[in-house]
Amino acid sequence: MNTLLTLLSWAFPLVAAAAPPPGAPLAPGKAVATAGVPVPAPVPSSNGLRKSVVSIRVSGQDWDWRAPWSKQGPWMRSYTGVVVAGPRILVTATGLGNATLVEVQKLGEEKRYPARIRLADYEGPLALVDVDDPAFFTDLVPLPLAADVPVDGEVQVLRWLGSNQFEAARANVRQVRVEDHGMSRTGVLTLDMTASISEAGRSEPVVRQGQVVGLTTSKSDDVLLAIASPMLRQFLAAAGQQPYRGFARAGVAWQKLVNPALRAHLGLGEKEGGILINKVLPHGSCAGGVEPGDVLLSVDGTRIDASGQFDHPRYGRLSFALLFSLGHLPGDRVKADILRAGTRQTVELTLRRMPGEADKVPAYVLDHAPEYVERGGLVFQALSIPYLGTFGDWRRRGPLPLLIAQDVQGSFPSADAPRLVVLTAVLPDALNLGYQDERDLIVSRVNGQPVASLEAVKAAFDGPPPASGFHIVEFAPGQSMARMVVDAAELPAASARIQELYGVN
Amino acid sequence: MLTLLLVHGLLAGAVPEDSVVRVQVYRSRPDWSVPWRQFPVDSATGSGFLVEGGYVMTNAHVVANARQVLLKRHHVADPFVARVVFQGDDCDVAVLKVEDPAFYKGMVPLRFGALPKARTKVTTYGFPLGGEEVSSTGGIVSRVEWRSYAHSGGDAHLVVQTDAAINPGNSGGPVWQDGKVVGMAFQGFLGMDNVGFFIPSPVVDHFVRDIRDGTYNGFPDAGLRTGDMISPALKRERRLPAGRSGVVVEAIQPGGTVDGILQPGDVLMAVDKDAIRDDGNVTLGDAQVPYFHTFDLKQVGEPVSMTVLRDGKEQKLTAPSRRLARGDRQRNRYNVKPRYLVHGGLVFVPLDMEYLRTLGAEWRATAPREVLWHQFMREWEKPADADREVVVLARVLKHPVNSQMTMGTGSVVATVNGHAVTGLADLAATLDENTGKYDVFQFEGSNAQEALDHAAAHAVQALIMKTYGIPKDRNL
Repeated sequence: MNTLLTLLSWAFPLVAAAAPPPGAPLAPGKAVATAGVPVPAPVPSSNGLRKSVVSIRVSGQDWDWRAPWSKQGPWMRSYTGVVVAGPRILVTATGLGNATLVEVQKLGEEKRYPARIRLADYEGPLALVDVDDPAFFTDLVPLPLAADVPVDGEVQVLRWLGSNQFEAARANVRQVRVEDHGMSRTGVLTLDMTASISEAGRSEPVVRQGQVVGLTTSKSDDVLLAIASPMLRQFLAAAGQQPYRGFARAGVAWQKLVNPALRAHLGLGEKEGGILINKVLPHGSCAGGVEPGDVLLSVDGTRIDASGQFDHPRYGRLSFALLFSLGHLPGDRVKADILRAGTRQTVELTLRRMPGEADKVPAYVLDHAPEYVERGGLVFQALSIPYLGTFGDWRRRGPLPLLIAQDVQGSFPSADAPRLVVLTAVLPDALNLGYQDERDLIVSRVNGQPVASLEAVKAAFDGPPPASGFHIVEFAPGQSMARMVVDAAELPAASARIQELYGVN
Repeated sequence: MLTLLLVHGLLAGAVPEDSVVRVQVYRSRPDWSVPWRQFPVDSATGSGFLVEGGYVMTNAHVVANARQVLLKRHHVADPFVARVVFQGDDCDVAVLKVEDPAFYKGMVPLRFGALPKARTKVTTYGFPLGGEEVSSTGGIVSRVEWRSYAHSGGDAHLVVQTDAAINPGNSGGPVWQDGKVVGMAFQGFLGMDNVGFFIPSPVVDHFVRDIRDGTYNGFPDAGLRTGDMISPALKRERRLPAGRSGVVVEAIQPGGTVDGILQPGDVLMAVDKDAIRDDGNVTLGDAQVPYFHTFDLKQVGEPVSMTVLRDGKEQKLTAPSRRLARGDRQRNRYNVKPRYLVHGGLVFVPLDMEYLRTLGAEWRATAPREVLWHQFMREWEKPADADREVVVLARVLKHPVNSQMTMGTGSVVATVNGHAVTGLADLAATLDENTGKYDVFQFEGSNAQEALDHAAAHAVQALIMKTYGIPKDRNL
């Protein structure tokens, strides 16, 4: 028998009381383990390969998205790179963002050579590293990149394990598929392997028969993923051109068309394939050609089946995302066959790359300081995933209005609303007394002017003083506050005081 | 004997044990995740006490979904069958009656006193953890405050916090001070000792006045969001005269008491005779409580007057108190049968708090964002659309007619055959009246589509209902 008393549990905290320290995209790299790590039996003939594999040590510092004028503590990570023609070093880009110092080591020597990131494309994610000292490349031999990758069989994963200990570990290819890596949203050709080596996935080259077939990006349990060499070759070729064009991405949300009733309703035959396009992102490759509700039947003459895959002559069924990212570059024009309102037609698409900051709510912001505007202690930032990341498990813990805005608008930038402006903090001062606990409010207007960028916020505050004598900040409806008032005459003096007190510069 | 008891009652108003009863309830709750199903009967106990009018008062949550209510008197062997006469789920108060006159023999109705002051002593009576004997515990009034009522989940009223032990089973028992009832024990805090809450007499009194006309209408909704006026800049900008105070109106809910009366930007300076401070509180005895309390104590239809500063000018405005029916979407529901529609194995339900809770404790994180937008933000962003009922595809009962569909459950149905869905009944009518070959659904958020063969769905409807044990295809 139950006895009754309704028990209150704590309300779900929409706003965390104290911001957890923002996590770095990757845990700081431990210097490669040496003693105690079981080393798999070396594969024969690895001796020559050691001349093509280098260690990369990256120091970096991320910005503090809770106080965007300042940086967090520095981090250090280690990666493996492979020497390619140039000579240059090819490496995955995932952990290179916000680097402050890049150094390379070779042949197990202790000496570190300064290096520069020549190009980092986080949508690969791939990067090229230059070493200015020509002595570095003495004794090093570029490795060729394989035109094709194996669909099964054994490969070697190469890396330096600390000083003068070279490892060529075995891995077995399970599958070739299309996957995105790290923070990238672009699906690329991917080698899916099983391997028992520990802490791999830090850009170790994967080699077969003396040729690179991939660069690793992650390992979970025994599954090791690598960006396959056709992508690496395309990246190297693109890197040789000005301007760099990157990898193209479809930029659609879509669904499978396996339900016979829906197929029949759309006017599709049983066996002709095709996927239903649900959303078209305005900055993606399909924008301007494909519309929501269209059935995408083929791209560049390659038919797409009902589950969104195409038949690759060598690798079998692969996601259609690869039809955009491999074999064409952004700027190329390709034809697509669609079924629109019962009519078959061919449209021409202009391929586009979609770097993180092209989104309305940027998926990642790297290598430059977060933008912000501070006026009278009111801190405005553009909503971004790194900002949401300050909530920790932000998909669960972030403020609901911000999560909804991110979900609904985040992928839909427009010329008149390029960003979502958020009041992220109020730095307490006499000027803003009464508002010091407010934060995370989506701003709709300042001084009557719609604001969809930080420039607009700046313009509204810095323009001619409002006739009323007050700056008025209005917030989008449905949030905990609607309107904030700041005395315009007192603002200049207060700003100097606040910037001094809180270290804003 | 009778005389003795009366004397006992008259002499010792401070000893109310004989008027306190144990409430034993056998209940059957609906399973909102399988909306045609009821959970097996379970039982629970709470407390209650006799008040004027022959009513036994207890908490609404004690008798919610009751199928049988038994009252057990102190030192009387046989229980008495009672029925629920009025149940206020928004304030967690209910009153019961017993047909058998023997029940009332020797019982003295307890009288209500005023709101107790902080730091004064109170005694609770009831049946914590069940038990046969009335138990009493003493404590002090810790504070008077405004707090959410957990039974409804969507209402907040005045509460009194006490350190008197209030445990499961105490629910519905009287809280006693100076020979009078000053409240009714009703909720506690998970994981916090020495913190219990009781419903204070002003809230109980609202319920008692409400039922006098034979109908329970519930508490009104001011329908108002305001901001405090701590900011000196805001005071100047609103031209609030020195020495005056109030809150600034930020948003107004369509259909609430102040809709059409107040405007965003108004400074609400007083409600009735209660002056509102800059922090939004009014003075209530020796306590400061949010001004909502003044709106809250009105009966539906009863006028409330407001002193407002608009464009620098002070005005007095009056409005009848109104209740927002759509507020039920934000509440836990009791004594109602869940609404649903089954069509071709697709189970549709209206979006409300009961549906969200079927998604599990983490529903705020797991529900699609558009669902949360409809539930919490739509009425503020799109006031004209505030009352619309949203329909969700709650589950798919698998059958070959639907098993190839790919949409996720939990999606909001935007359109059917191009018709914008305005509610569960509208969805049912649209599907019933479809003369086309397919029922084509478009979902919000994902913008995905799915289709059912209309004739095939009808043909297998009976079989699906039989297979899945569904007595009726709909409760609209």
